[in-house]
Amino acid sequence: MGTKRNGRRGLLFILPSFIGVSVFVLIPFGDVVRRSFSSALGGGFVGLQNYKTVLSNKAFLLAAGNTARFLAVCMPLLLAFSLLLAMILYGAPEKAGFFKTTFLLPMAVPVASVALLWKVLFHSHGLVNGWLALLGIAPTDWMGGSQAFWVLVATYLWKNIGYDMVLWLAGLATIPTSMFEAAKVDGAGSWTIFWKITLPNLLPAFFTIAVLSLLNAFKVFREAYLVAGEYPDDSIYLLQHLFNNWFRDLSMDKLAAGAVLTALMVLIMILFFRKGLNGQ
Amino acid sequence: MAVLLAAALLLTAACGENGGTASPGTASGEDSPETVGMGRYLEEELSFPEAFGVVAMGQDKEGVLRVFARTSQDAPVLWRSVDAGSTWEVQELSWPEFLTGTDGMSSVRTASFLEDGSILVLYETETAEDAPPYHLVKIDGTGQAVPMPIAPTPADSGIGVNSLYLTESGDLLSSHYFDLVQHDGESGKIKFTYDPQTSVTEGTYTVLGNLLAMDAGKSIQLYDLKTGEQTSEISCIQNSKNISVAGSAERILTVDKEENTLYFCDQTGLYRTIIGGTAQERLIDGSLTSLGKPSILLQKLLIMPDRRVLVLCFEEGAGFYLLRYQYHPDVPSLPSTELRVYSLKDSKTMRQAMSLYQRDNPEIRFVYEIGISGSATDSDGVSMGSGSASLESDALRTLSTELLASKGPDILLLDGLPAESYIAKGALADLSDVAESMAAELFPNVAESYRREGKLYGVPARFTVPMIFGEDAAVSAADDAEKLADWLEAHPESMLENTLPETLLRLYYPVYASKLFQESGEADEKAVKEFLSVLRRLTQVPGLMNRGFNGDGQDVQTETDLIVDAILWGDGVINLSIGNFDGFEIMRPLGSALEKRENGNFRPLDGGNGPVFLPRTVLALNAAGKQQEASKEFLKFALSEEALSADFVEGMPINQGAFFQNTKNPDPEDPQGYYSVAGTYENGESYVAELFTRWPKEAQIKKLTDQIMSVKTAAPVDRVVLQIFLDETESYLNGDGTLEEAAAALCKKLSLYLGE
Repeated sequence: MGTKRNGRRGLLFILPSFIGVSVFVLIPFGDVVRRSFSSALGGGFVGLQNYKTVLSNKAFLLAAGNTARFLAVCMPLLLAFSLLLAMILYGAPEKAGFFKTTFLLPMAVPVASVALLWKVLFHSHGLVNGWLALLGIAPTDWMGGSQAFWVLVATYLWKNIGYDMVLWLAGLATIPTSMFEAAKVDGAGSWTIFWKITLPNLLPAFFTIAVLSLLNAFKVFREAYLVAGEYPDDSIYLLQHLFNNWFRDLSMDKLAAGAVLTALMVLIMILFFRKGLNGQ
Repeated sequence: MAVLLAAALLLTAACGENGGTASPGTASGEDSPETVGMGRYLEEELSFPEAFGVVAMGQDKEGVLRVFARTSQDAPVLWRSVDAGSTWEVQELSWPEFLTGTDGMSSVRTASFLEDGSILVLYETETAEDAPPYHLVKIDGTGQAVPMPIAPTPADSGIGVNSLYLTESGDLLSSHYFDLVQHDGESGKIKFTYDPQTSVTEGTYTVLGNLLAMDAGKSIQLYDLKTGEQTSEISCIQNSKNISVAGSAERILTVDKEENTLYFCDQTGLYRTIIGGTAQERLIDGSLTSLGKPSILLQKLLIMPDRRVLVLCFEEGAGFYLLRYQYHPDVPSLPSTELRVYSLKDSKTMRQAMSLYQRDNPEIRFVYEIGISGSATDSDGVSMGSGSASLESDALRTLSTELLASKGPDILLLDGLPAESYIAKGALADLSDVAESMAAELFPNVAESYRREGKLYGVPARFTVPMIFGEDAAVSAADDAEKLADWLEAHPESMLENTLPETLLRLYYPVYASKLFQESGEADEKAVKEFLSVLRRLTQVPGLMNRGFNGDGQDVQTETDLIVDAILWGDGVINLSIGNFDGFEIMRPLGSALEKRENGNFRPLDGGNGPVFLPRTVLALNAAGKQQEASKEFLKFALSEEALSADFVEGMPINQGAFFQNTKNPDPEDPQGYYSVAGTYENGESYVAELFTRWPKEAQIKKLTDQIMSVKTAAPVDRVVLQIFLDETESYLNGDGTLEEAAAALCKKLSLYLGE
């Protein structure tokens, strides 16, 4: 009896959140799924036609490929570098406070300011080309060529590395220090401690950090859009560019199908992480 | 606790539902039709008994209206009305010689009514060079002229006096268009000068005792006439933001002495405020009356003793007339039917049509939504400054949201909107019945511009034609851009007015667009290269406005002004000009230049596939709109001669009646023409040209209209494609980079866009 009452009380506690998530995420997404099987203005049922159209759309294939490439490059780099920084700071706690603040600062910079900074740095007559000219190196169109992709990668790392580092530090803090001490007593070296104790104990945190980094990776579109507009260089033409342009042109049919496919891919990746974690 | 939290969340969500109601640029009232109250001022248009030029209008304490005017024979006349302008009678006076013009030397400059009914008249004489140019007299009820001890003078810049006002203390106020001067009533010395940073005419200021109220654009400034100091300011920003940029931006003022109330009127309506108070009340919504017409020029505001409101207006073609407003307590304050009209940028053509239609259909209320009001775009809706492109996209996404939610506007202006995408998605209704019912009135080739698979999805209310004019040899040789470049390179002494890459691209892209794409829709790289190569050659021929000018970082006008160019060509400053023929104002300078230059010519611009016209003010109907029939009725009106007769330089009207009405000389009794001056400068060197502009001869008008009417091919411009052209070719056309690089980058971007 008491368990039932507790269960009902628990439901009441999650109800506000559930309603919020439903109103702002689940129901709109349900509508997007419905629209992915309808004509552009929600008229007639068109079956899988929108999915066929999207999967044969050159722009979608390019954008999906670029987005996948971006994730494939950025995610490992971000996770590895942020973990490295976290380990360094964990080993020197007396200096950690200052560096934590330093690495978190990019998160406090507004997107518009980042875009302005980009323009100042990477414009064809910008600071970077000016510095290169001083070294006798020919200027490059940073945002107009394939190098735009690497500028975007660098920006993503710069902006998110501090956040991930703090998450790793939180994960490290949950590992009992007695385990490290015991390992040292048993003669384990730093490398062995890292592989055998630190890393396995960080796996629960890894799942959270990977998912958050994955979702944050989609936000890098804002900087790319503000700097290079609706049609940037092919190498940084991401799914969000395409979705924005489709929405502008009222192509809700293609947009809905593309969004459902993307959501499916993200879900598969999250399940993949989760499965990998559970397997461990 | 959890239940409370859930309830709070639901309540918050519910409150947010209707939070953002006001769209940017909405030009009408804020009341929703559901909460409408009773009582509204209704409008009547009153004409004067004879066409004349009004010099001054006033009312005495009994509310008798008087108008001092010049007849068409330039004789003075005093009209009198005891019924607030419904009927008029002439008040016979024995006018002095200097007013009748029989002395051959004098002409009236301006005048003002005094409260006793007499007229203060400022006239100027041409003979005595050393004598003061102005003379001030008071004309009493019999026509007797009493000289005044003082008289105002022209401004130091030479600008003449355009209005007068005699204050209660005896001081004289006189304005010179850009300032207002207060003269001491006895000595005539200037006591104070007021500069409101906007134009000053008779209606833009008013006096109550020692208080002077002046329109200052975004506010009304109040001054103390004793000290000349500004005492306070009444903000009008809320009103100003909805006033069309180049329309009648004046605000006219008057005071009610008994109620100590200031009334002011502009395009957005009539307002009143207690002097010294802070609240403003809008008595009349401009969008529900003729006040919202962009063609109207507000001249004078009067409040009658019975609280009826009179507005003296002037309109090109219509001359002077009165608008009278009377409060009707039994009429709903807002009309029952609401039509929402959307355009990416402000359209005077639409404002005109809405105002005219609303007056004849008081049950209709328009809500005009402007996507990017105030931002700089060209006629195609393509951004003309950095950052504007994203604003346009934001506006389009906002519109998409509304259309997807089936809450979109009833009527859309497709200029700058993704029209083909809207058509493909079924967002637009078929307008075949509208066009068919007006088939005899409209130019058929223009009307059919947006017919796709048997249905008509848009009808352009206006259209423009890219034209070239100048030396006959060059114009005759310019069968396409390449031949024009050949001729200009062979004649390096000849100057094309504007050789800025952006200008050339904007003008020639629509003309060449059909050649630049393959049947599959993909860009034809070979054709693109040829096109860019020719444009690059044109950027390098001698030009009055060219890359050197642009390189100075000046604010360059990228759209050519054919009126200025015609004057420059007429005076021999330039040899050729290309630009969009988008209004009839060009006819006068072009005709005069042709007459003066003798060896001149003009023709539509050609890309080798024949000339094209560009649809403008393209009217379309939202297929999901709730007021289909009412919208169609309005669209018929918007395409009528009445709605399209006014020329706003937004294109020529599709309505043949309106088109040919505009080809008639608006001022046939003025054979002398107007003295026109045009100036420009490049790299610090100024060019000034002058020309007496007269209405063209019949043969020239016929040739021009025949040429315009012979253009059969529509060239709607895709906003995104043109923007990609502008972005990707900028370096090459400005002399950097290679043709191959520019064409490859351009085609790659186009492929991406077209592939979406």
